[in-house]
Amino acid sequence: MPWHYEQSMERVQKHLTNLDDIEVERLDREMDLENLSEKTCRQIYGAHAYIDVRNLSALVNEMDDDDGRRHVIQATHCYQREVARIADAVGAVRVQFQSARTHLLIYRPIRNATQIAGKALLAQLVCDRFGDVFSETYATLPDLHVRSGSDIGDAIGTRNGVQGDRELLFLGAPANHAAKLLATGSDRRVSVAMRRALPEDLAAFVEDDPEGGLRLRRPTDTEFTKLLENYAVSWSAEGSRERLEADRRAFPLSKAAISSAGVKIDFDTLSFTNNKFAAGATLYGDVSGFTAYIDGATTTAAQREALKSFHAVRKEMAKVVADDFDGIRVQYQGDRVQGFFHMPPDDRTRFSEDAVRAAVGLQSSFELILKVLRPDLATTGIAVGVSEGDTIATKLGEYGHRDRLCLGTGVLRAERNEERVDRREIGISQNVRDNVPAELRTFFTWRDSAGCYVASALDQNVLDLAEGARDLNRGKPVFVRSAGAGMGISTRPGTGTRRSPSPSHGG
Amino acid sequence: MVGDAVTRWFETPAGRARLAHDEEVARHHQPGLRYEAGADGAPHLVGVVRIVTVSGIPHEIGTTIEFPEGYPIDEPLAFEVGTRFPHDPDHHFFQDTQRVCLWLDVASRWRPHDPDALAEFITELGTFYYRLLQMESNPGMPFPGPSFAHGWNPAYREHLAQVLRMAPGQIPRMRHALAGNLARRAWCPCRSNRRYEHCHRDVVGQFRSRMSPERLRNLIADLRGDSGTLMPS
Repeated sequence: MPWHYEQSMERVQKHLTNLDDIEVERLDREMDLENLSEKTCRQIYGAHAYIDVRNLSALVNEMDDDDGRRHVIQATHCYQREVARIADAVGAVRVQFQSARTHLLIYRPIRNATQIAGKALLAQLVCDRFGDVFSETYATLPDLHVRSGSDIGDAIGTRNGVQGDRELLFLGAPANHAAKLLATGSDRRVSVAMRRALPEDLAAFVEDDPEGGLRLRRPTDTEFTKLLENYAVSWSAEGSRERLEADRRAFPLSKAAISSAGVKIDFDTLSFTNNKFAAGATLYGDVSGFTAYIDGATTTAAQREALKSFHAVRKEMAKVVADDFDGIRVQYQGDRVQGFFHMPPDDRTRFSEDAVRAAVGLQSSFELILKVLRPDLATTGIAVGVSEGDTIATKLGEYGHRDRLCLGTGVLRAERNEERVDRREIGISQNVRDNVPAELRTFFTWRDSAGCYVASALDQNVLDLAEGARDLNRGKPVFVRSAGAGMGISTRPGTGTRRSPSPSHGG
Repeated sequence: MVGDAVTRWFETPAGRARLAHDEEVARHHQPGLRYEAGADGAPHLVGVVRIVTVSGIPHEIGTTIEFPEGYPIDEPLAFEVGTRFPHDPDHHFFQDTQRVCLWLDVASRWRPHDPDALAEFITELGTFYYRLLQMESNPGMPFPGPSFAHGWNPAYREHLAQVLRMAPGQIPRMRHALAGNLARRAWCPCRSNRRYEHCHRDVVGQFRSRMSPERLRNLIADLRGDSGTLMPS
């Protein structure tokens, strides 16, 4: 069922009613982050580090047969297992695997900036080294291109969902900024706040990035070994190589079954032994300006209200993707949602159109409903990116730490499009534009700076009225019906409509 | 004789009954409109017309509907209140006013003796606003769907071309017929090689009967190529 104003309004009102008693407290002592929930949130001082393998997703499209794809799946699973071990070794919490990107949080010792920043930096350096080990071990795959970024400060931690589909979500500048550091500049980057917090010996590795900001110098082998010793990080390249080999034996290619998705993918059933391969469209919807909004919420009451808005936005975004357009909500990533559309199988026209219409639905829910019901969202807006391509769907991790994952160039391009457009805009790739019907295509124009086709201020209202105008110009009649407190009007006949005489305007 | 006060339409028993029924109609079709007495004591409908697009998106348009002295024989007049739409000929507003131009008077759908005429009027008004919303949403778009040209005479010429089923350029040939100066047995000016009485006489007669004498005079002058004809409203 397509997006509908009243349905969206009802949903958001219901979400808001259920979010009346959110609790936000400063995290000043140990707490199992598993105990966070939608209503139990904590302001957590910590370092957020993102480790990204830039070319892992793109490998999927270089693998043109199942055997090649199995290699990618095996590599992804083994990669994430070792990254999870590195996180444990440096004392980080693995927040989420997001496609080929890993979000780590370091918050212990509580509010100890120096130690926290040090651990984050070590996580970056170790993951960087691990990239080398991985590339050597997987000689059949192109060398991994590992990038990382970190920032430190206060962010609000919360959690969505119910059993089996719960994600740890962080809102605030450090979580957001660390991810943004990955977009440009050198391969290992840190924020100014990180440098300020680092102990002297680690700060020595921070230098100015010629492309702006700060970067981490790669330590020599001797320096690296010494750092691990000094900070008691039990990781070595040799040990990592052995674990990788063991993982490869434990997760053999023969068990990485891939089947094409003839029916809608159920992520809950996916695992290393059950993966899906499908042509599909990926959508990323990001609440632009939300980080500034949440950072501006300095009182508990303001934070509570901001979280209420956040959860309402998040839930509505998922509903639009999954309920209105029959897509799959793959992940929430902070204030961003990732959706996937692949039905009917191989029908690129249809799933591309569904994804673009879902993007319009997201804009509609945000601009026409959420901003009206939550005026505090006035300074925010949604940026959406859509692309399509062959995609592998899998699920990583172990019980309690599972992450839904989509890999493919379509996923990467959708993310890039989203990052390059502004709030209230939708960026789509050339292939999606070619697939969608002319009446949608007409709203998108090429933008050099974004490298994609962009539509601004496109919501369902614009589509409705454009469709009406098109029909009227073709001589179609107008149909009217009583609609609650007004008059329903369209160029489509429907239940309870009557045909209005053809218009006659003059003068 | 006491004074020379004229009984206004809403003060007669029939007018009161009509007003009561109209109130029901308005409440049912557009609850956002309510009756108010104007400065002259005459009832006006004031408030918002609410129209809802196919995806359920509501639009409220500030509106006043006035009822002329000759109501219900004379149709109501609708005004868009506010500045949501540009009040210009491209948007089919009467020149420099907020009054909407729903139709040509000769093509009016107003049915004075139909008790539910106001409902139809409001529906037409909603349809008109729907078209303006399309223009608002798509800047640069011309008025969507069929419409007559700006200004009375061009509009009447277009309408006449439709009624007579002629190309607008051929209409000037019909000016004598429109002026009532063509004999029944004359050859029809449309060059059908048929007698006027067997060709266009009936439709011309119907058109003449619907036109006010002043507008008809001006239209004929316009067809003759005379300047100074009736300007757009």
